[in-house]
Formats: sequence, structure tokens, C-alpha cells
Amino acid sequence: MAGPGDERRLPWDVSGRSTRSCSHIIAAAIMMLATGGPWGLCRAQAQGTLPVLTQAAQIRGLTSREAQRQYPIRLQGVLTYYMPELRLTFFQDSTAGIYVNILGTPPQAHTGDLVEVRGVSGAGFFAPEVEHPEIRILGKASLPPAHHFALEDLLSGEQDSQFVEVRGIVHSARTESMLLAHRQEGPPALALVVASRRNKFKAWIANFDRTADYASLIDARVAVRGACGALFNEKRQLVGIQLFVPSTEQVQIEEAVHADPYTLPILPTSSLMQFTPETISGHRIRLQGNLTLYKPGRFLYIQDASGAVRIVSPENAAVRIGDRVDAIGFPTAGQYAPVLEDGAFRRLGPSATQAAPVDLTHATSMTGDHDAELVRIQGTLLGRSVQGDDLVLAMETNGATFAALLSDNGSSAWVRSIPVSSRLNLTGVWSVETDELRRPISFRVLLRSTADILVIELPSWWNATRILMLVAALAIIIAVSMAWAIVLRRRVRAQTAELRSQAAELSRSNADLEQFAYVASHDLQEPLRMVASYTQLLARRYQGKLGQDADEFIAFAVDGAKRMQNLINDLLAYSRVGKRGSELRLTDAEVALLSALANVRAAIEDSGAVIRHSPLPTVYADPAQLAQVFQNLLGNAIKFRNRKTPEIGVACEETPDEWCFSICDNGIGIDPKHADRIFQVFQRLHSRKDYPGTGIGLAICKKIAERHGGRIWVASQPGQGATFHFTIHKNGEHIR
Amino acid sequence: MTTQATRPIEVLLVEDNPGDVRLTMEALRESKVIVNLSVAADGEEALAFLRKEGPYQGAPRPDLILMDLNLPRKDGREVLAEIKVDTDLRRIPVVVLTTSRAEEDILRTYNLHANCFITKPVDLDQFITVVAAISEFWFSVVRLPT
Repeated sequence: MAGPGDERRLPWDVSGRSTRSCSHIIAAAIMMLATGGPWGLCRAQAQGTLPVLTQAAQIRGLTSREAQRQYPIRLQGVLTYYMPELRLTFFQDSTAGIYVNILGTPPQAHTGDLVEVRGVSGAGFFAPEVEHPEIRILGKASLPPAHHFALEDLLSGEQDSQFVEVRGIVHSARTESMLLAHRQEGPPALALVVASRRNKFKAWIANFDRTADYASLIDARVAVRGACGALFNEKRQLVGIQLFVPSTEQVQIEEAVHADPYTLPILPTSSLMQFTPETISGHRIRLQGNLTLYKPGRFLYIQDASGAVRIVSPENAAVRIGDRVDAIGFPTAGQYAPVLEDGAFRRLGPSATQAAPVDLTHATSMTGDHDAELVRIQGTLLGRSVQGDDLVLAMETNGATFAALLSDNGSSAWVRSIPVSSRLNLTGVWSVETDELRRPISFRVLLRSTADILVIELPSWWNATRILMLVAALAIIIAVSMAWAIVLRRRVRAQTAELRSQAAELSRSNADLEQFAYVASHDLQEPLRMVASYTQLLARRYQGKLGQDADEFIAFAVDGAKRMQNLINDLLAYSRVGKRGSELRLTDAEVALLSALANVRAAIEDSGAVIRHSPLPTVYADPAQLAQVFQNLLGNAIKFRNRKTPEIGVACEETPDEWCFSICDNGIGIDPKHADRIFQVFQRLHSRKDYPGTGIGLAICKKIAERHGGRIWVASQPGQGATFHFTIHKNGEHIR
Repeated sequence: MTTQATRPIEVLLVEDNPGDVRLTMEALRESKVIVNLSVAADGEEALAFLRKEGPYQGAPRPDLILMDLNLPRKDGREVLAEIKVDTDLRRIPVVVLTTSRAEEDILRTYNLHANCFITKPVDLDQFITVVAAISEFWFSVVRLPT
């Protein structure tokens, strides 16, 4: 600790209480002088020059504004801490310590060098400092005597940059990287956390034996000497102190420690901060209990029969929830209940008995009573958020809110899918936060795993948002449907109008055509009758009188006129089917058939045809037209006979909608390829000589069948006879 | 039969088609009955003849009227209606001789008190037979008012 013998003599001696108190007085005197200094300096400044400050105490006495005026500085003293890579340069002369702010390339100096420092004054981050320093090494010197201060006094910040001594109990001794602003990593240093009563500070020892086990320092009462550095925020406000200790030599053990902390007496967790010799001593205590929660590197909770406690520990250990744990640490007042800080622990093995969670389900109000204990509580999920590495569930129960925290380690996807408003049963460690009067203000449940979450009731599917969406969807559907209905109605209206106009057009055109056919055939008949009559009269009066040629010519003229009359009569009949038909009424088909048979009686008698018929129904029809169909079909059946005696059968079958009549014969038959053609006007399959006729009879039948909502068709093979079928719709509304 | 044979029978033919007029005359000629045939070419002329108006002051009162339905100026139906409301003329039998075979024409004609409705047969022989039948019936069988 004391410097070597080749040092220059300085105003202080190496050690000794008397010297220390003496220099304290001197320092105080200089401080007074420095305080008065600025008044004198003002005058000097008025003349254009600032006085050179030669004592550190003078600089410390400047206000922040004065210091900014860059008083020239020339000091002589010792570097109490020199680590320029971290911009840590503390200097001390016989009056005081000061921080030297080296911005450029640092000189090759060491802690303990006797130096001359030239520069200017500056406001510094917290206290006045030396800026733009030029450092000249004069030699080696012993470290200055350290003034002893209580930690509480140092925390005022008044002793910033001074070389001081402070006492306390070591809480932790770990090798840490010295971190500075803008750096991720710094050089390793031995970091001692030293506590005195309720306060703590960190002592950084850069010069230490890396092979030594400093854990033995823990719980020892020590005196530490070093340059006092203020910890301040951006607003130049003091938030704490740290001590930069030149070497382990500046650490003096004043009270040795228990050899093995795990041989300390085991205390109940409830004894923390109770008035017991062990807990008020400030020394380490020992607890045992079941592990209820463990956040590796951060904290753990253990619970024994008397209660539970939170242990803050940076250690990582292979322990599992439910293990019995042996823990040591320093009791401090926590938020609500005491906490064991700077703790260490070891696993004893699985616990024989497991602590049952305290059931808070039926608690009417939440209190801090069960802080740190394992609890079970029910609540309604209000929402989720992420806080650091934790997934936070906002919960509500009995009108009070609390949070449930779960490590978000990837297994929480299921938790994220739990719908809001679900009712959950949660098991975890109860953590209470308090206000400044130590009244509980917020509650948290620290969950160990997703297994601690039990969904006991899912929310009703109906919530405000869904109802709103449904209403909106319904509204849209209704709007769209109405719009669609309007569009459809318009379209239907337009199409109906078009169809109506087309139907009217068609009906008019049909009527025109029928009228034309009627008028044409009717009016054609008059002149034709003249031609026919007078050629016949010619024949009657002059047959055999004008020669053979004249007789033949007259005969052709008479025949042509007759044929044309037949054609016109048939055409007239065809055009009358739609135009001149009577209304449909209930008609006995047998009566119609008998009427038709009467009309073809001559042909029946000539051919000797045999006609049989099954009972025919009463149908809804135009009686004359129904008879006409029978007559035409019977006429054809007789006309198109072969050498056999015609045998004709008339029958009727009923279908759900129609009556289907059939007339079958044993005549010459029809090639199926002509089955459609024969129903067209004036279509003939045979010569007039073989089978006379105009070729309009079947066209009339087709038209009549269609007027009755039916069809007509033929089934036949040449030489096999033919069967004509026609249908009549049962519902009379199908009239044309 | 015997009494009526004493004077020629007066017949008024109301027909606009000269071909039909001649045909009717030829047909009557072939019948045994002697007929004094007057011809009116349209309805107005026919009524003037019957009422002895204008150039027809000396016209004979016909014993029978043979009339077509389709006539110029005033058609057969109107003429028929006027004859049958005339207390004097309505006793004269009116035989409607037309090419029409339409049911409605037949019905309407009888409703107008026509004495009979005959469709002109298209065949000459039949026509001659019909005309012979008419004269046979109306001039020999039927007893007409004097």
C-alpha cells in the first residue's frame, strides 16, 4: 500500500492518522481561499487576463459558469487513478482531487505517477474538471492519504474525484467488464459491491490477481480506498457513486468472514428484517425452502413453512421447481416484504413435501399478505402484451386488476391464442408492488410455465365487436339483396315487356298470316269457281262437238280447276284451325270419333275396313276439330292401305298431364325418315295417281293437336302399318 | 202447282258477278220452270227495284229473291234486313245463294229471317242440280202468297 522509497517528498506523509487530520485542515483552509478567489479573479479578467489556478481546490471552488471560462491551470500532484482508455483520470494534489478530461492521445503515464498538469478549467459532466490537459511525468509518488467518509456522506457527491476511504460489508465480489458509454465491452475488473447500512456502492479494482478467489471477501467488513466517481445522469444529477480503487492493496479487511456460509444457522424466511441479531448485523444469513420460481441469472423464490422470500441472485444453477434449496444472501427491505439480495444458493435435492398454493379465488379483496408465496387465483383475461422477455396477461377479478407474467420462451403460442374475456385459473408466485408509504398498489402473478394457466371458461362467442360485425354484415347483405332485387325486378320487367311485345308481334303476325291465307283462299275461290264452272259448262254443252283435242283440253282444264279448288279448300280449312276454331269445352271423344266415322263412311264401305276402338275419355277440346283429326287420320289409314283389308284400331292412354290417342293401321306404312316431313303443309310422299290428296290433312292435324297443348307423331316402318299418336293436354288453359 | 203455272214466275237475282248471273241463268234454263229473271247488280239497286223507285217504276214484284251476300254499295245482309222489316216486302221469300259456307254467315242470315241459305256448289253439275231444286221447291212445292 505504501509507495517505494525513491519517491519525492510531498506535502503529505505516507500514512498515519495525525497527518491525515492535519492535511484535512490544510485542505479546508485552501478551500476557503479558493472560495474567495473568484472575486479577485473578476478584477483580473476585467484587465483581459485570467489568473493561473495552481491548486485543485481552486478549480473545485468554481461555479459551473465560472469553470466554463477556461481558467489556465498548472497543477502538481499524483495520478490517483489512470485508465485513459476508459477516460478515467483522477489527479490529486495537496489541496484536493480533480478529474482530468483527456480527449486526445493519452500520455504514457501510470497510477501513482507524480505529474505536472497544465490545462484549462471546464464545467465537466458533474463537477469542474481540467480540460485540454498536458501531462508531464515528474516521477513516482506515494498515493495521497485517503480521508475517511461514511458512505452516506459520499453519496452527497461533494467528494467527487477525491481520494477517499469508506467502510462497509462486501456483498459480492465478481470479475466484471468495466463498461463505459459508447462501449459494449471494457477491460475486466474486480467489482466489489460494498454495503453500508441501506446503501451500496461498487468498487472497481482494475489491478487484481485473476487467479485469486475473491469470493472469500464476501460478507467481510472492509475499508476501501479509491477515487470517488460520481454516477450521474444526462442532467448532471447525481444518482450514486462508485469507487475507482488502484489495486487490491487499497482494500483492507477489518473483520474476517465465516469460513463456509452454508454452515450458518438456518433461519425461517419470516425472520428476515425481524429484530434478530443475525438480520440486523448486515451480514449474510442462510435460509432453506422449496423452490417455487426460478429465473436463471435474475432471481428465485423459495418457500418454507413460515412464508416465502424472493432471492436476487445472478447465479445460474441446475435447479428445478419443487427442489429443496439452501440459500444465502443479504436481507434488505423489498417493495413490500424483505428480499434476500446478492444471494447464492445450492440444490439440496427434490423436496419431500410440496407447498400447496394459497387459494385466492374467493378472496374479496387483494392484499399484500401472500407476497412471494405460491398462490392460485381466478380471473378474466383482459388483454395481452409483451414486456421485455415476458408475456404479460392483464387480468381482472372482483373489480381489481392484476398482471400475470410468463417467460416468453416460445412455448407461449398457446397462451397467445387464448381469447380475451376467457376465465383463467392461474398458479404462480404472488408479487406485490407498493407505493412510497408501502401500501400495496399493484399485484402480479409470476407464472412458471404454461401449465400454470388453466382455461376454465371460454368467452361467449358473442361480443360487441362480433355483434357489430354481424349487424354490419347483415346490413350489407340486406342492402346488396335489395339492390339485387331491384336490379332483377327491373330486368324482369324489361324482359317481360320485351316478351309481351314479341308475343304481341308474333300473335299479330300470325293473325295477319291467317287472315291473309283466309282472304286469299276465299277470294281465289270466286274466279276459280268461274273457271271451273264455265269449263264444265263447256264440257257439258260441247262434249263431242268440237273434236277429240278440244274434249281433252277441256278435260284438263276441268281437272286443274277442280284440283285447285281442293287445294284452296284445304288451305282455308288449315287457316281456320286457329282463326275460326270454337272454344275448348268438355268433349266426349267417342262422339267426335263417331262423327268422323260418319264422314268417312263411304270410304269404309268401299274398302271394307274394320275399325275397332277402346273406350275413349271425355277431354277438354274443340269438338269439331277433334272430329277433324279423327277423320283425317282414319281417312289416311284407309287411303294408304295395301291389298289387305284395312284393320284400324283407335285407343287412348292417360298420362299425368295428357290424353294420348293412337290410331294404328295395317297399311303401307311410312319410312321413319319422312316421319317429320309428312306433318308439313303440301308435303306428299306418293303420286296423285296412286294416292290422291293435297297433302294438307296431317298439317291440319298437327295444328289442331298443338292448339290443344299436344303433339302429333308417327311410329311406323314401310309395309308394317303405321301408328299415329296425338296428345291433348288435360288443362284447357293450353289453348292457342 | 197448276194455278201458278198460268203466269211466268218473277225472280229477282241480286248478284254483282256477271259470270254468276249467266251461270244462274243457264242453270235456270236447264230447269223446266219458265222464269222471268230480273237482275240487280248491287244492294241499292235491288231495294230500288223492289220499291219500284227511279228507273224501276214499272218493275214487277218478284215471287222469289235469289241474293248473294257480298255485294257492292250495300251488301246482302243489309238488303235482307231492310226487306224483312218492310211489311210489304217481307213476304217475298229470300234465298241466300253464296259461296260462303261459314257457320257465322249461316247463323246471321237466318237471324235476319232469310228463308233459306244455300252455298253455291263449286261443281257445275251440282250447281245446276241446286238451282233445279230451288225452282222445283219454290215454284212447284211451296205455296206462295199471291
